[in-house]
Amino acid sequence: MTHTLHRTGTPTDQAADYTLMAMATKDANLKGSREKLVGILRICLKHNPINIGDTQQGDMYLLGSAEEVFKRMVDGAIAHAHFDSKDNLINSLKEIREADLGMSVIVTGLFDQIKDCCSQAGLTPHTQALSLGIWGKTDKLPDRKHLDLHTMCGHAMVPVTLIDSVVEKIKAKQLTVEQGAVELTKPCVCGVFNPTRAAEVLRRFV
Amino acid sequence: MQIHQEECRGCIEKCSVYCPTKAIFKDDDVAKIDRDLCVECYNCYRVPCCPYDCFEPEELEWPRSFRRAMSDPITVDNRTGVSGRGTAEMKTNDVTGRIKYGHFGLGVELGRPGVGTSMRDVEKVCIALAPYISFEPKNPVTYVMKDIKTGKLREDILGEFVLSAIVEGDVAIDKLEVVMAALKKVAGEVDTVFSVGLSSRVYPDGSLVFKDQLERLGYTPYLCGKTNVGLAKPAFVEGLR
Repeated sequence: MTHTLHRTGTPTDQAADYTLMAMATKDANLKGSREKLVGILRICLKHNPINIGDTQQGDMYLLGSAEEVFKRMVDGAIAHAHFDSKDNLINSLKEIREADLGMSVIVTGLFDQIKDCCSQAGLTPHTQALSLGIWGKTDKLPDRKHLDLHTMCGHAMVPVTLIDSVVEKIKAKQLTVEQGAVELTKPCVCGVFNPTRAAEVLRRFV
Repeated sequence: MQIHQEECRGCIEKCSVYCPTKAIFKDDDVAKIDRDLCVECYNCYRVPCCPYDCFEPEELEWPRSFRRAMSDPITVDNRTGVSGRGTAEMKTNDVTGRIKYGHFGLGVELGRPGVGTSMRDVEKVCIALAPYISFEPKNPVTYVMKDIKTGKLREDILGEFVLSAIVEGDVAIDKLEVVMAALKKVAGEVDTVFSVGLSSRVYPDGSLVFKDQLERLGYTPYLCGKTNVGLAKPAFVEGLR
């Protein structure tokens, strides 16, 4: 599962795009992990995340609130918080380190920014995953603007057809750009879709 | 997935846009599903997009159930305990020590982004990588291999179309060049796209195990990626070689 790898976008866009994920490991620290994972998300909630979700249950836009996400989480949940601010990520990481809850924590973002976040939070990167991009029949891909929105949900739950539909509704003034961004956020169950960044990209369509 | 035809009012613009494979179409004034294109991702059911609740999951038998496992992010694989289409790979490496110094984790996700893939194309990539990779034993694609030495898949799933499938495993660092060459070759043989990801331990100076080799081979990774920040317990301890 590499659902937050392979996000496309300009460095400027990605400088406001950070995912924090927390998870347990089967046969190691799974039992009792629910409380720890909810604890991590509650720490994040204090630092203005723009999305919260659990891959197995849904995100706050689909379920209605972060509390509803927490209520449904179980041992083995895959917890996500998304930030559009580096400072909010740093402050979350600092508190998570101090809380010492023992879950694996993975952050996705520009490597140079994440390196700085880790340094400021007193953390040492352990393992990294990087993308070598898209190979094969790339003529089957949509254009870059669509791709920048679509790849924010690594499970492909934000189809190009939905993006086009939302763009048409914005042009017809049936939705604002911000409302359109929320409509795109709902299908991404993990909570890793960034509605703030999506609104910026949608403005380029209209 | 099925659509209750007697309840459907034919307002296909409300539901079809949520289908990542364009499997929903209108016929006789009602919405229908092209079962060959439908990957059982349940996006249409989960959102929910139908004002009349016409979408209803159906009992899926093998091998159609494999489509759902490879397409619906909410499904949990009982063998790995992980939802989605792959494994925990680098995400829990601070506990498992799965990716060690001197090695890298390779994840080739066919069909991503948004194109989908036949399992026959997945098999082509498995066969291309088989000489060089130790396939991840807990990965759903590895589960359907009939021979991990050759990368050949079971015949009963070869006709399936899925949203994406990750070929995943461990590779010794000295195989980096030959693995990249094998991927480059097979990229011209598949009728889909694939996204390539590499995972590595981070050296104490902050560099990656394969950074120099990648640059020498002319590959430029995305500037954005994932970092495991090493907070998990019990921590896997590995010394530098």
